[in-house]
Parts: sequence; structure tokens; C-alpha cells
Amino acid sequence: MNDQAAHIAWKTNAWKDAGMVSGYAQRMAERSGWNVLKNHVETRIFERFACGSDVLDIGIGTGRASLPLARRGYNVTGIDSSQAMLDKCRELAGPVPITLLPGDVARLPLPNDSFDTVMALNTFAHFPHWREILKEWVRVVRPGGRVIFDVYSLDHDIAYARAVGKPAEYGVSHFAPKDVGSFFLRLPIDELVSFADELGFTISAVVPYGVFFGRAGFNHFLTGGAVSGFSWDRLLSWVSVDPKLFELFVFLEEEIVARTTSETASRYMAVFDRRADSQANSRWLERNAEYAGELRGGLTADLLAARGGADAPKMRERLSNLLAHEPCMYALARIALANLAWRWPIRYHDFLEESQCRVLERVLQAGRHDAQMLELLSELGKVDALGARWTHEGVPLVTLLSYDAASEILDRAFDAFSPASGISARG
Amino acid sequence: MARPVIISLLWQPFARVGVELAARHGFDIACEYTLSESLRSEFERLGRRWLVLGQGELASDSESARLDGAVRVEEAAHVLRDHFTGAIDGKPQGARAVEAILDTANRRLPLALHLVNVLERVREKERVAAVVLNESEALTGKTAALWAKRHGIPVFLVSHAVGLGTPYTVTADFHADFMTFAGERGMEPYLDVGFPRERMIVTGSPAWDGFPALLTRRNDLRARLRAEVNAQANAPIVVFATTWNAKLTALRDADVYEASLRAFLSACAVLQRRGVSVHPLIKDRPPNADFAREAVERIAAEVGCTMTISFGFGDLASVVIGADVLVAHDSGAIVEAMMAGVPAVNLWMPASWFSGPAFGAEDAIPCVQHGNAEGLADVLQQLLTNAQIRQDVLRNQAARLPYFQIANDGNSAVRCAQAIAQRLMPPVDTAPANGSTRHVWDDVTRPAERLTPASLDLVAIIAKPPQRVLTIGAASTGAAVQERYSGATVITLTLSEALDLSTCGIERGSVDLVMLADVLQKMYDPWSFLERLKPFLCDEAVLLASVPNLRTIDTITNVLAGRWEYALDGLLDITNLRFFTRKSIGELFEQTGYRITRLQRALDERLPAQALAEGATCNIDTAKFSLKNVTAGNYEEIRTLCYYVEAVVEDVTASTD
Repeated sequence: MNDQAAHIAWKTNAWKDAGMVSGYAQRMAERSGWNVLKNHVETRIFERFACGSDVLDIGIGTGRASLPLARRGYNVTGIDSSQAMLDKCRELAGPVPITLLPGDVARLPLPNDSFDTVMALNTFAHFPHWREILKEWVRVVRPGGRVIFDVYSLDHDIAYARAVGKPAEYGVSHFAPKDVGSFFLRLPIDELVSFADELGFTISAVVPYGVFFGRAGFNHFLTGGAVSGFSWDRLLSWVSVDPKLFELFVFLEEEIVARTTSETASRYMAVFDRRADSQANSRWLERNAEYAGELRGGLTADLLAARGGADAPKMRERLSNLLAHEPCMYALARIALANLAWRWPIRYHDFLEESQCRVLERVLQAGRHDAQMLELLSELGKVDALGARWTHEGVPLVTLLSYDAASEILDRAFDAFSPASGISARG
Repeated sequence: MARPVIISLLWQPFARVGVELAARHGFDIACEYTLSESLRSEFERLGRRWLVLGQGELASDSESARLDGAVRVEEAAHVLRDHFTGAIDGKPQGARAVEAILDTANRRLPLALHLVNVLERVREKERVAAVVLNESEALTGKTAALWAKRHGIPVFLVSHAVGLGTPYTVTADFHADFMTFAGERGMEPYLDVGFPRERMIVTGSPAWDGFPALLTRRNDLRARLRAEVNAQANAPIVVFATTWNAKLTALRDADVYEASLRAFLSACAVLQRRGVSVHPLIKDRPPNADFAREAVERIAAEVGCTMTISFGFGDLASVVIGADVLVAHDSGAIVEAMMAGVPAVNLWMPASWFSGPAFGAEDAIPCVQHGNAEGLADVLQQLLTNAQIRQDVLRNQAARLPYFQIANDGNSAVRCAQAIAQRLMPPVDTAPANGSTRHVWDDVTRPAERLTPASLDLVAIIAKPPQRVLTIGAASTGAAVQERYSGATVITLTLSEALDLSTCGIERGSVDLVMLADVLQKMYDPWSFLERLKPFLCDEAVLLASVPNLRTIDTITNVLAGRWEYALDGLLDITNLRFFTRKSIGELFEQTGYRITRLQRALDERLPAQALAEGATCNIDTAKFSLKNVTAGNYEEIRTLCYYVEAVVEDVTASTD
């Protein structure tokens, strides 16, 4: 069995285990951690773009994406290769009518042109043979209908490679899945749109999401820094209890991230309409490339406004409301801190009120002081003449002083411990 | 041969780990402080040593280190000032940083130099097996860690804290080979900075081993605390554990001590206005006593809290156990409250969101913003007056505790010592037979005259009742033959006597049975011996020899692990000189003119019998390696612990004289 076939068999069978299914459902239903955030952002995208009345959810699983639509009155059909999943979905649906079919998502037991909206959540990315899959999925879309699904972004991987001065191939190979069990599909938007065009579909929207949450390494630009790891997950855990913190992240994802490009986030939702218009597709791709270039130059409210975002004053009004809640202010500051290393120009004054800008600036200043202090200590270790004199019985002495010197340097060179300093000081 | 020494720089609350390493795992310990009288005598009884660093034989001159340091700093000053003349961001920070570094060096370098000297003294005199530390980033720990690394000595870091904060700036680096943690929670900050998970061990915090014992005195401690602070009968004690800046990062709260105190006292003021009676107790450290009283008085007045406020400057655990609620800011005190079964509340300050947060939503710790006095008062009030809520919180905190501190059983030091010992080469033997230190080689020049199981087996396979028996080695073998065959004449020779048979008064051609129970391998030249034996044998003479097998799984496993441990018996009996496999046993007899007529084996029962079909093979899998495609014959050999060989003289005419 070749790798691809082996992978597909594994994925199909994994979901059939009832024990795994209830763990999955529990994880989805869990109000802890960032799952609730992810769930909200993803289902909202489907709610926003679903059209018509007949909806097909491919790989419905426990129904987390389409049950909200069913409750809103859509006629929802769900298909899944796992009877265990379907059973759980039925249970969660309760009195809400929904049609559930066991079946192979690569060979849908459904006639052509039978649905207004075909959607798939966290399903498409499992398939290396995505073209065949998409071809099959769009078969059941009615003329004028649409297909919506999420996939991982190769554009993000390549953008990261570029940002660290490496060729595009580095982005392709370095982040590639390691083995059959861990395959996930990454597509550049150009390739996806081109293929959809061949199928007679036109790109309607691309919605990047998941910049601030996800499994390990959810965003290459944030990995290893302030917005990553157990520490960040712990901060995110509070969104399940703190409605303002939750609202902040939803705002950041929906008002900002969603209006950027597939370079920003490691995943995106693609929305295609069944309507042949190659010119529209190529125009979209052109404008997208142009926009991506503009964004690389910096983030402003104007740029986002051109993509449907609110203007700067409105942005400020909405955000300042949220940032008046202290955890929100400092969560945002922590994100800004993570950006210090990248120096991506963000016009904070477009988004934050003056007083909040000052709070942010204090945090960034403190972050810069830390970085500069570390840089000084590191340089200290590289002074050759010093190194030679400063070993004793083979033990390098310079590095021993780091701990104590750090305090001294922060204090005397950067005045970091005066009463007026610190991130929470007034002034 | 002295025992290996572990250098322990563990702080006093962790001393037990060193004691366990000595008592249970056979190491000697070198430490900065001395042991109590009773522990010291226990050590003497065990035959272990507790060496004190920098004292006695390990003394080192600290004054010369001070002078050495001063000289080096002076030399460096010139270099550094030249190098760092540049400005940062247009401001003269470079120059100020240099002065900061030089001042630090002046103060701290001599300590580092002295410590290196002290450690070198230990290394000169002892075999150092490991260095154990509570921290490896501050001067002392880092010096010891880097020194150890330089000499290939493993470094174990025993976390001193629960690990609630994010190690960043200078602490986001690590110099330990292995780290032990109180619980999974402590691992997370280090996983975040890339410390390999396989080098992390959760053992619980040894500093909290005294907790279970304290908890048995709970009522007594509570009563004592209430009496000490003179609390009103119906006023629950609410403890606030103060907090200070670590000063390792600019991302800090300005004056967190006062700010957090203010948050707490503001909540107390709210409770007071609501008519809720509580007795606040501020827990701080002795050096801060004056400062604390002044600050509390001032802030209490500012926020309108006129309750009587008490202070505690002693042991945190006793205060926590005596409390009704504990409030703290991102502190390990909260975990102590969880261990004590006292509800804990955490205070959030802005920097909490950068160095943590210390607790997540699933950690069952109510968290309140510092500016939310009403909110904190609400939480305290509920915990103190609503039995259901109190019970729920306590239950949830107890359920979540293992994540922070794996077990509250007083055995963390034992687990810690075990984790360390398991990863080190074991010392020679861990329990002295008669209270003094004995080595397996103590008797090497006097081969043991023991009756081994092999000897008895050998006697059991004698096929024909003998008439004149020659046994070499243990006298007891001869005695066993004599007992079985009372009519036989049994001559017993020691190994050294057997080297020259002609002087032993044995008639040529008279012996019809030779017993060689585990002796051939103790001879320097068993080949010549077998040849020289032949003239003394009669025509139908039979040799019975037991020979341990080298070709075993144990042999390979041990060698791969770097072990070659001589023992009192068995294959690696310290008196064994020659080693044999089936093939080389065959060669031994055949090349000296004998023919093997019978071969029996003592088998290793750990390897099960395999009924292998003709030509079939099997694999033997161990933890470290697999032996593949093992034939039935080879399998039987690998299973053999000892061969029992019956041999007869092959070529009668080839006997030498």
C-alpha cells in the first residue's frame, strides 16, 4: 500500500472507534481552553456564508458546525464514514431535524446538484488527493450554490520562510507533515482558486483564521515566543470564563485576521460559488497578491477598511471598550510584545485610544529593555579578550554573572525598577 | 576503593534528598552544611560519609579567590569599557551597563572562583558521580553546573518551586542534564523553552515532605495560630502571603508588594463595611518585619480598613494550615493552601499576563483582578460563609492538586533520590554485611572454599560409582562425593596444589573420576592442567567439570551498559580468570586430548523453552537490543548458565609425562 493509500485508510478507520469519538465530542463540547474560541470562529464563518436552504455537511462528525444551522432552520444533511460519530451527532441534535447518512466522503451517496451549500469543517485537510475529493464534493452543489471548507495555508509557511531570509522551498519542506498519521493538507490560495476555476467555480471569499489559537505551532511567527506554549494556552483558558476576553479574541479574529490574507494565518476557510467566471478568479488573485504586498508593509485600519473593515474611529471605539477590561489590555499587549521580534509595523493608534496606546508603549518599552539587556549580556560573552582572561579551571566566568548582572543592567542602564517604571505604573 | 560522592548544593529544606542518596543508594555526600547529630551518627553506622565543602580536607582559601577576582575584574574593566563605548538608541546605556557589569563582577566573581576551587578539591580527592542543585541560573548553581559539565559530571536540578512563572530573560536557559519537578505544572515553563521532556521527572517537591506530619496536627496548629493573633471567636483568619519582585525583567508591576497588599486590604475594608468579621494576617519574611508593619498601617488607613491586622513572619506551612482562607499573588503559597485543604484565592496583577498566568481556568483557583476590591470581598465572603461553595472549591482544589504537587505523602525526597540514583552508575554495594565496608575483592587472594550448587549437581550426575576420586577445589565437593559413595577413596587438592600433581602423592593411572566443579575457569592455564592430568587417569577414567557459560543475554546486556561487576560467585566470580562458551569448552577438552561424552546444562529459567521446528528461528527482544534469527541450537546455548561436561581421554597414547 503506498503512503497516500495507507494514510487514507488510517484516517477513515480512526474515527470509527467509539471511544475516540466520545473523546472527540467531549473535547468539542468542552468549554475549557481555546476550543470554545475555535468552535465559535469556525461556526460563525459557516453561518455567515451558508446560502439557500439545503445544506450538506461533509464529515459532519458530531455536528458542531452544522447543528447551529439546523437550529436556524436550514435543511441539514450530514455525512460521515463513522457510524459512531453519526450516533453522537443524532444525540446532540435532540429534537432538531437533521438527515444523517453513513458514507464515504470521497464517494458521496447523493445525486448531482442536490444542495445549495456544501460545507466541510476540519475535513478537507485530511486528503492528499484533494483534487479528486473537491471534484466529488462540487458535483452535488446546485448551480448558484456554494462550497465552504477550511484548509491549511502553504502561503503562511512560505511567507515565514521569506521573513527569515530563506527560499520558498524551505517553507514547503520544513513544515511538511512527517508521516502518514500526521498528514494535513497545505494549499497556496493560487493553486486552489485555479483548480476551482477548472471546475467552474468562482472564489467568493478567503477567510484566514486561527492566528492566536490552535495546536502546537499554530502560527509560525508566534512560535517560541510570548504567544505560544503552555503559558499562552493558560491565558486562553480564561476565554471560557471571561466574556470580555472571549470577545477580544473574536474581535481580533473577525475584524482583523479575517480581513488579511492566507499569509497571515496558518489556516483559512475558502468559499467558492458555482458560477464559471475565470476573469473574476484571475482578477481576485491579482488583487489578493497586491493586497498581500501592501499588508507586508504594515497593518492599518485603512487597509482593513478596503476589505470591509470598520474605519479607524470605529475600530478604536469597539476595541477601547474591550481594553478597558484589564486582562484584555494585557493580553493584547502580550501579542504586541510577540511582534517586537518581527517589527511588523502596526499602526496602533488606528486601533487603540491614546491612554491605551500609552499602556501598550510601556509594555513594548519594557520588552525592548529586556531584549537589549540580553543582547548586552550576550555580547559580553563574545568579547574575546575577556573570555580568555575569564575562565577558571576551564569554567567560563562571564556567563556566571548573567543572573546578577541582568538586574543591575536593567536598573542602572534602563531604569527599569524606579517607582515610575513598570508596566502598571501610572504616568 | 571509596564510594562515589554526590556533590549536593541543595538548600536545607531539600537536605533529605542527600540523606536518601546516601542511605538508600550508597553514595557519599559532599554538601555545604553539616548534618544534625543524630543524622551524622546514622551515617557513621551505615558507613557513609557526609563531607562538608570547604572544610577540613576540602578546605580552600577564600581570600585568594577574592584577590584573584579583584585582579581579573581590573583587567577586564579596561577591555569592557573600550568595547562597549557605543550608545543604545542614542542614550548612553552601553556605558552604564558596563559599570553595572563591573560592579556585579566585583561583588560576585570571587564567590564563583572560590566555589570552583572548592569543587576542584572534591574532584581531586573523590570520585564525583553527580552534582545536585536547586537552581542552575543564579551564580552558585550556574558555577557548579558549568564546572560539572566541564568534567562530564551529570547535573540534576531539583526544582525548588512549583514552577508557576514563565522563565524568561536570563532564566530561560538551562544547564541541567535532568530536572525533577513537583508536578506536571512545573514542567510546562521548561517545555515551553525547549527542555527535552525525556529528561524531566515528576517526583513531588521534597521541601513539602513535612506536610503530612503537620496536617496531623491541624487542630493544634489552628488553635495555636488563633491564640497567637488573639483572633475573635467568630472571626475567620484570612491570610495574605506577600510578594516581591524578582527583578529579572522589565516586564514587572511597579511596586507589586504594595499594590498587592493594597488590593487585599481594600477587600478587607469592603468586608468590614459589609459587617463581615474576619481577622487578616499578613504573612511575610523576617527581614521585612518593620517594612511590612509600616506599609500595612499606612495602606490600611488609606483604604479605610480598621480591623486588627496580625503578622506572621515564621514558617509559611503552619500559618497556611491554621488559616481559613489564603490570598496570594501568583505564588506557591497557593499550592501549599491546596495541600493544607484551605481554600486559596489568587490575585491578578498586570504582569501576571506576561509571566503567566500562574493559574488557568481549569485549575480550580478563583482569580480576581487587583483593582476589584468588591470582587475579592465577594469571593472571600462566599468561601467563609457559604458551606456549599467552600466544600465545592475545596473538593476541586484537592482534585487538581496532583497537577501541581504529584503526591502529598512525604516521600518526594525518596522519589527524587531514586530518580537521581537510577540515572547514575551504582556504587559497589549498598549494604555492608557486618556494618563495615566490604568489597567483593577482599577475598580474591583466598579463593572461597564454598560448596556451590554446581558442585552438588556435578555429584548428582556421576554415572558409575567411582573408586578413586580426585577433586580439585572446594573440600566440600570431595566430602559430598564421599557421602554418596562411601566406599570410594577421595583425594581433594586445592588449586595451587593441583598445579603440580606429581608432588601430590597420586599414583599414576589410579584415578577413575575427576571432579572439577567450577575450577577450570580459575586456573591460569587449564589447558596444561588437563594435559598433565592424563597420566594419573586409568583407562576408563571420567572427568566431570562444571563451567559457567559466557554466552548469555546477561553478559551482553551488562557489557552494553558498561557493567562488568565481579561477584562472589557465578560467571563473574572474582576468582575466575578464564571464560568459556560451548565452543571454547569443546576446544578446551578436544585440544588437550579428551572427548566430551555427555553435556548437560543448567538453564536460565527467564528464557522460556522454545519448541522450534526444524530450521525455524526466533528473535530474543530485550529493552536495548534484539537478537535476530536465533536457531534452536543457539537459543539453547544462550539459555545456558552453566555446562556440566563429562569427558574421557581420547587419545591414550598422547599422554605426556
